[in-house]
Amino acid sequence: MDKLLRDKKAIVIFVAPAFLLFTFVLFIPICQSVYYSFCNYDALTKPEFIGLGNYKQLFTIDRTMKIAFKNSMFFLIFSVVTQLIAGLILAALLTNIKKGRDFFKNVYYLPCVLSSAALGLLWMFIFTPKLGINQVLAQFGIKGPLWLMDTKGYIILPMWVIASVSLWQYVGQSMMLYMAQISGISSSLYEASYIDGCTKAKAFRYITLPLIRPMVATAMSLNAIGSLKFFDLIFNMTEGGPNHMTDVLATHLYQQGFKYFKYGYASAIGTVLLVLCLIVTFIINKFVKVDNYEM
Amino acid sequence: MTDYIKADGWIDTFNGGEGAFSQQTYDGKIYAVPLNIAAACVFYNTEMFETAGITTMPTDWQGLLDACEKLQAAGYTPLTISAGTAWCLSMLAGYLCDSEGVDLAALDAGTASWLDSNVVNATNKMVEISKYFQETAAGDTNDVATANFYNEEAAMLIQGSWAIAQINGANPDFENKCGVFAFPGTDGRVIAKSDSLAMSATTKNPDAVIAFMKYFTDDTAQKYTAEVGGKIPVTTVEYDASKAPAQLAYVMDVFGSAKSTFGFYNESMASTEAGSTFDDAMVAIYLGTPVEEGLQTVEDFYKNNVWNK
Repeated sequence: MDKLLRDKKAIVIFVAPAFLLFTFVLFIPICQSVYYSFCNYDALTKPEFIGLGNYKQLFTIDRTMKIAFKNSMFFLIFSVVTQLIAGLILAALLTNIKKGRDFFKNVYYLPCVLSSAALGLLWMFIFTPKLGINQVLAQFGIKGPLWLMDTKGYIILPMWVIASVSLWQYVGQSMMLYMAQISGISSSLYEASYIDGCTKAKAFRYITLPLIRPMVATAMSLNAIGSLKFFDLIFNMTEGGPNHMTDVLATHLYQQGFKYFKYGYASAIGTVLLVLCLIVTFIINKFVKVDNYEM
Repeated sequence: MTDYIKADGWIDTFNGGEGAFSQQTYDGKIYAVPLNIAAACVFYNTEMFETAGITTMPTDWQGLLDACEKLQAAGYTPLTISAGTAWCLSMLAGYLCDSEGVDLAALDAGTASWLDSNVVNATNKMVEISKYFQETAAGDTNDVATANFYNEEAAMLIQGSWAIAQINGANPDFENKCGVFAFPGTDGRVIAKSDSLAMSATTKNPDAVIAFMKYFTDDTAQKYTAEVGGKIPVTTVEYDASKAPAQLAYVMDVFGSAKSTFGFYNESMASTEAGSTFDDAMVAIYLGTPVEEGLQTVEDFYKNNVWNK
């Protein structure tokens, strides 16, 4: 290994693919996008530098941006909290059952590997008043709400519906991460605690939780970033409607960029999204304390 | 494309000559070739109208409301429409705005306001008639709203004549129960729309492109457009009316007696985004946003994006 690390040629060969990929696919486009965010740019004519014009419009005039920001924040909080709790509960339950563990693991993880576009359409049909759940409710004499069109309240019903569908889709991923970490905890720790009179609940509280904290931080960061750039379910279920009420930052970006060809403005939204992702990741890593124990 | 269209008598094959290109002309130059024309009309279920005792088709706003009232009294859902697909509701709003004399050019120029009384009146009319929509209009897509009509769950559908093929294809038995009348109270103005083909100005093979386009406007294609597609042909081709969907003849009547046509409202505005803002505002108002508040969003958009440019 030492010999390999002294060989500069080998280092360059091993690092080059990742470096080139990162530079050309990620770093340069991000830099370009940040530059375009200061321009009036429609992709057909040359970008015209307008300074902070796009950001000024974004934060002072754009009504949809306010809604999208609020919805993205709601999504972020909802996803991080619910996926943490539901993922942990499922992981704890599944690691404690012997029969059917693999079956349920696959069942909970299955939505993660399915196409979000297909799932979005499926759930859209389910919540369409004429076709889905409301027809079932009508059989019992119950008039169902407009799941994807109701606009009452600060956080409107369609956002709760989409967030719940997203929880259903992605909880398997959090569960798998926690399960991987839990299965790495030595059984001798639990055995010792049971000999000392510890209950299962206490063992979970005082052994499992502290030992999976590094994974909690990782899963929370992944969930937070994933929910901030969340797009596919919303686009397929509501397209941001009615009247932009279910728009999030990513759908707003898409509309401005690819529907109205305002690439400069869309780049400004993209830059805000990037900064938000960095801030959220920093906050989670700063405040979720991670102690390393030998397991 | 003006030179190509005027060459070798191609333009003479079009119904109305140069007039057939009005929606494809900008600044005196023709930019595309229309392939068909569709008109936005009111499709209605003749049996339901008969049962409800409606013998003459509505010709004004009050007549339409009266017809809705009679249909509702007879136990039918008077009107099926999609608010889930915003342009469908916006098409109705467009008709109402036009009948109230809303001047889109003046709105684009900033000499009229989206809060003017004529826009408010038109929007109030939309709210007024919305009580006759199917219960699920807010969530129904265009396809679902159309299906409500051909499945005989509602008596009227406001839709473009492109829907004829969809209606007859899904329920062939419904063809002889489906009538068509012009949207009432518009003083003979009809929303019309064309599918068109355009050519890149930098193409290396303009002659091949033109030859390809001519396939779509020759007699065979235009007959097919009418007889199978149920759309109004753009050329003077003679087609077999007995082969064409029954509704096409009614649409031709509506189109033939129209004093003038105008485009889709949302497609006739200052920009695509302006059109979407209008569509969204109409849906928001239908869902309960107060009329002035909903129109204020369009006004604000124009202030920030159209009038200050």
